[in-house]
Amino acid sequence: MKKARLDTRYARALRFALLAGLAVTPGAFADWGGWIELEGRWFPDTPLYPPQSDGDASVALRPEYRTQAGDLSFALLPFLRVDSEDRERTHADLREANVKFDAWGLSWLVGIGQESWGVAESYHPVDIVNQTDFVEDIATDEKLGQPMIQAKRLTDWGTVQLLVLPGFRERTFPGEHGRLYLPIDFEHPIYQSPQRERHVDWALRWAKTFGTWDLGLSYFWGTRRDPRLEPDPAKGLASVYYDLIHQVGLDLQGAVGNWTFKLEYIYRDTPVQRYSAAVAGAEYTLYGMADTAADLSLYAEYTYNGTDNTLATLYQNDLFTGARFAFNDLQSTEVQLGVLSDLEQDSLLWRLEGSRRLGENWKLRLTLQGFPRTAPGEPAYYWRKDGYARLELLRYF
Amino acid sequence: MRRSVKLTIGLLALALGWPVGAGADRNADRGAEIFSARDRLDEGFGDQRVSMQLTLRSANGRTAERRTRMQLLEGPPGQGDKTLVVFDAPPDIAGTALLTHEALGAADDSQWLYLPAYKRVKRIAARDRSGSFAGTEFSYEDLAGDKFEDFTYRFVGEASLRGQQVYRVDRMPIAPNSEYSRQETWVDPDTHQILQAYLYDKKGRHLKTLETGDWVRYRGNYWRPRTLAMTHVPSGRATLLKTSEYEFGVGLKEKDFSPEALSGLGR
Repeated sequence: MKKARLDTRYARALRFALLAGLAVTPGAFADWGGWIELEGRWFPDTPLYPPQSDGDASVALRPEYRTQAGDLSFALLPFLRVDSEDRERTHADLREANVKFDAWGLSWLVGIGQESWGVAESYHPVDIVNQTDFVEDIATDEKLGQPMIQAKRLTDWGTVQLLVLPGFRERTFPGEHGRLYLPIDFEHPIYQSPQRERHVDWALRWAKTFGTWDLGLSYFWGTRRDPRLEPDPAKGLASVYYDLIHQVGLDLQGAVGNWTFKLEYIYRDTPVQRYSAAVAGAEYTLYGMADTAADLSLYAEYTYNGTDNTLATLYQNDLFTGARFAFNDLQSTEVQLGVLSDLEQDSLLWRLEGSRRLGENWKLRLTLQGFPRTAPGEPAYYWRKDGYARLELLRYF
Repeated sequence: MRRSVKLTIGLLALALGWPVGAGADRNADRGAEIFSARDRLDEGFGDQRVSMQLTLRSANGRTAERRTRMQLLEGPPGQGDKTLVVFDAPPDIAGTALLTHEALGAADDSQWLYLPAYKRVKRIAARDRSGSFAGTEFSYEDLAGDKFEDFTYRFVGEASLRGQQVYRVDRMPIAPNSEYSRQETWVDPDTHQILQAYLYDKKGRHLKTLETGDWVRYRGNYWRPRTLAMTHVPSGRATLLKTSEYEFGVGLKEKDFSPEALSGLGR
């Protein structure tokens, strides 16, 4: 029901954006692109929930159309995934459908857009504009398109960005036929705002470079993107709460010698708790090892989230360590490993990813995800049987 | 300021035919004069845009293509330029962008890398600028520009290169974090542009060779190469860069060169 309503709204926005895009760009730059992906996932352990299966196959399509004429540009990036097992994972979205232009001394983006904030490797507490497309991947930054009006201005005292965000997007969650399921009642989210998903959210960010340091300060007022998940024994499922929050954020990254230092910090005021969350860490890169072009980047980050709602975060008090090996070969081969270990509880998860381009237009990606140790109360506890291997083959066009 | 004083003394000395200090100083001044003339001739173009086709050749002779576009905003006098390089192909790395705010002299340039797969703008550590840019033999530092103020100079003599009389000038980077200790250059006496350079790493080893060609003169005084070849000497890997026609005065703005502008440049 709700999905259908949302879709009509997007269809209308899309029609408008398309007309606007086509009307103003006669013979200027225009380009089609995008990709199609075949994905298979295999879960070697017996599932925790009986309706689930040992694996799934899916196909995803993400075309891309862009036009530009002078300062005016238009982007359209729809997304569709069809999954063999999980109806929730079968989903469509408009990642982007927007017009960008300059007017009144400001740079504008109107429509559905993507806006990522944050500097860290493992966890992005400051990143709050776009909703996470959680059925895509529990650990990437795959985001749903967010309706927005954005005005940006570069001044001598930094870049200032104001976002008006009409139309909230619910987080996507795997259904009970899908692996990486959480026992939560995502079909009946509880909004604090009486306008529910029609509440208009606001965000503001200021960013400036000081020598070799980049500083950003942000403020958000509106419906939280990461829902509060409160267990409800009567239902046997946790309830999903979208509270109205105020959040201030700080992000900082700097280059000193061979090191890059990163910090993200937020302070959040919610109806049930005031708390902070942070990630702080460093990156070190070894370049051109042994006369090859290969680079090895090493990461270490401390993550903290002060919420009492442990089911809603993986990063309460954890240490992330990681390594990325970029071969810098003709086929852009990369391998990376990340380990998140809890400093309080006996909990550990890891991920190994490898990717390589095949020819000009194909890409192969392999991901191995493991949950060797999990503790009750944290989300990974429900994924303790969901370690998987995923193979993706992408064709760009 | 410092530059213009030095320049004035140098020009005065040249005009009057005076030997300036000892022989070493004279060679330093003559080398500096060649490169300061190059920068002086190149002043005032404002901004430029160019597309580049890169052919990467591995040590075993296999090749692959990359397509990028580059735009550059000339800095005000005494300040560095701002450069943006964006990949258009292969499609899986399209949108990968490198932004450079060039700093003159001993200060480190600021560089940011945007990788679409991570959706994050990453600072490149000052001492890490020897890294390969997207698998090419051009390092981040190679793409950051080479202004007169970034080096000290030594005039070596005159030489012949591909049948042409050229100046041989050595130049030494001032920035302590540079990946190079020394660059031997072969300079065209008319355009004052580098036709060939041997780049030596911090250990004094011949690391890379740069060769430029097909120089074209735009708008009277702006010389631009249509081909650049960078060879990694120890391994034999190479990247051949061919440019489109350069466009000048395209109306680029400061905001096109801010780290916040790096995302969403793919097309």
